Amino acid sequence: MSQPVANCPSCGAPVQFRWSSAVQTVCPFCRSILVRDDLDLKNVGKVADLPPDPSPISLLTEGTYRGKSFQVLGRIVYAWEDGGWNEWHIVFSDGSSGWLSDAQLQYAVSFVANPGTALPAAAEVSSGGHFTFNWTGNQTDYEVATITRASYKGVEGELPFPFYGKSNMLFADLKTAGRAFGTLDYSDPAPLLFLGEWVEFEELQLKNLRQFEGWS
Amino acid sequence: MRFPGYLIYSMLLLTGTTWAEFRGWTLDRPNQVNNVPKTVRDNPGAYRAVYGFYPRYVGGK
Amino acid sequence: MTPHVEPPVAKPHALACPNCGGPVERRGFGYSMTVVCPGCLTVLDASTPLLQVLQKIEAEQSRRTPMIPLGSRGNMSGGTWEAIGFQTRAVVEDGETFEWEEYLLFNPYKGFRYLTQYDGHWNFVTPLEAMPQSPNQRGLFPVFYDGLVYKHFSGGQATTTFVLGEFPWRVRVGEQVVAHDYVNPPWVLSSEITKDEIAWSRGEYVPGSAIWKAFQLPGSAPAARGVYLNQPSPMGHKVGGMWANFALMLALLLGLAIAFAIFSRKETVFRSSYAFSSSQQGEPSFVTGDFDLTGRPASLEVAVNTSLDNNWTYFNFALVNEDTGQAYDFGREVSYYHGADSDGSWDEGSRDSSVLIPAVAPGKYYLRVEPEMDSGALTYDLTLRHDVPNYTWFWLAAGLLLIPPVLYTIRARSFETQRWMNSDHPPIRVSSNDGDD
Repeated sequence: MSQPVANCPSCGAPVQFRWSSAVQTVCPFCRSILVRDDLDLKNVGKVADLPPDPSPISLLTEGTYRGKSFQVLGRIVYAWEDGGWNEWHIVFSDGSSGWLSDAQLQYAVSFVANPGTALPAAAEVSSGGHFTFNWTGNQTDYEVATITRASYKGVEGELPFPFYGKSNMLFADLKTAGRAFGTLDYSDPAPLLFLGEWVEFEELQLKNLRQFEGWS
Repeated sequence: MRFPGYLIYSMLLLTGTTWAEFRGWTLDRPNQVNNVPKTVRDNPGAYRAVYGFYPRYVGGK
Repeated sequence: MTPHVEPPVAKPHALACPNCGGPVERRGFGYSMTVVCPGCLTVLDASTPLLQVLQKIEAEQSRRTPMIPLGSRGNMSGGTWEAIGFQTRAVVEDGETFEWEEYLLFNPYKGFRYLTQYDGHWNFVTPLEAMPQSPNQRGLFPVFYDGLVYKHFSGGQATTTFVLGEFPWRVRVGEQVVAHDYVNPPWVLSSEITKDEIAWSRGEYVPGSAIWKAFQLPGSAPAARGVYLNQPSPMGHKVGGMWANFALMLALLLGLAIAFAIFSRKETVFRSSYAFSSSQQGEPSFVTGDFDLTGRPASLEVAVNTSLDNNWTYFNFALVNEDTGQAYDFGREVSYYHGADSDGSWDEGSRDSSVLIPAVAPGKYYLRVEPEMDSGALTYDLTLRHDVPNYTWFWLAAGLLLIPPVLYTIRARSFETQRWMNSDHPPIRVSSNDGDD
């Protein structure tokens, strides 16, 4: 992975990208959100200090998913009516990227997916609706379980797209009879489908986790 | 074997059955009478059956 | 390499209760939405840094004490868990209230689990994100999950009756959900329906002693009463194995019987025909000619086949060893009656009879025969066969072999009956006073 170095346009500190496809990063010193235009970095605003956060995962945590190792390089923090969750941006050794979500310590890995059919608009999707998508080669039935309105609380690290200042985003959670799950993301004008599966903490073989006082 | 107790029990049963069968045993035994005199052969009417009460022949001659 | 700054962790700390001022400990690292003041039992909103009162609890006598003290840690199911929350919930059925305990377990890496306890029965419960398959999620059909079928056991409205500690969601005393349990011992799949959301979890039955060991609690676990919905049967799936064992043993027994049938000599040592009449003169008893019994001591069959017709005869027998003077003394009644009436023809008894003399030693023998009869006449054959298989032993052994699997099956059935008597689908309906019967 090439690691281009540039300087933060706000405070001048050297900013290094660990992932060649990173579109956005956050300067760790002055917390400016920097969007990348080739090697030009544009300061688009500041992100507030992230709130006290209990996730055991942090940037540079490493893990394994289905035999492929990954590194955590970015994060989006979401908040909704009954709490919040993290979407960690994970990058695999072959440069591909995915998402490791941590919602009250329930972990899931997902990837942006091609739905194969037209997705319903935000106003049309409701609980109980069914979809069939291809997950790891199997045609799987997904049912809309809940519709959630969330807003972002903060970002950190490298992300594959510019993401800041979004609020009141709509998400539809899709559940199956097994480990597979899906999300319909209506934060952009065009709906996005993410497909993935729930994983147990042990399966990820995470290293470089944060330490908690009193816990090993 | 998941039922060692039953195995032992059935082996004992089978062994017992084989032994009983081999020895020619029956569940009920007829009464045994001893000292039946040879004269009964010539005079069968003189024989008196004793139903296990007397272990020896107590009939007439 | 660009460093990154880790956001601070919410460490375990105590705040003051806005209602009574007493200390309220926070152990849930920022996941808790609700926390209960241990002093005054007020339910507080923990989602903001300052605790706010959500619900005041009036009756102090509703206080319950958790068996696992909050803050205790235990090692089980591959992890270390800290009990940080406690609640009791109850259902009302036929006028009776059934209350159970729930403990919220926390591990900052692995997440949340639960321990439920009722009547000394414990379950280790994991929340599921999947939606198990069922034709009707809110109903009584079996549910399929992870390759197993779970049968509906019970469903009803569960009310929260007491809360203590912290929870990662909003709780209130008096809160109600519709809860259903589906079982496949030792597993239970539970669903909880609130508003329009269904939450599933799977529990595994754990004996109380394992809980006490995991959390190193003093004393011993309270004894479990009755059979719990997903309590594994001590006979388990072994009933089939018992019967398989029985089948194997029966096959061996059959083989033995066949072997004896083949290898016994069944040697006819004497056969003759006679006639007798009640009106004949002279001594009715007679002796047969000599015959030799050879080989090892074996059974001797004395068979009499008669021409009896609506009559009876009593035969006195004595098998006498000519050399030793020892004799076997026995008798047999033979009777045979038949006729026809409005129901058809009938018969009673048999024309033939036989007796087995056990373990007759080799030697020279004769048979003394004395027939008795009220009136009538008959002809009969006497056949003596040496070394004859005695099937009685095999029937007896088969019967005795049958007893353990039958008893085992009865016990297993009884356990299952006890289990399902507590369900919404009891195998035996206990009728209450409603109408005639």
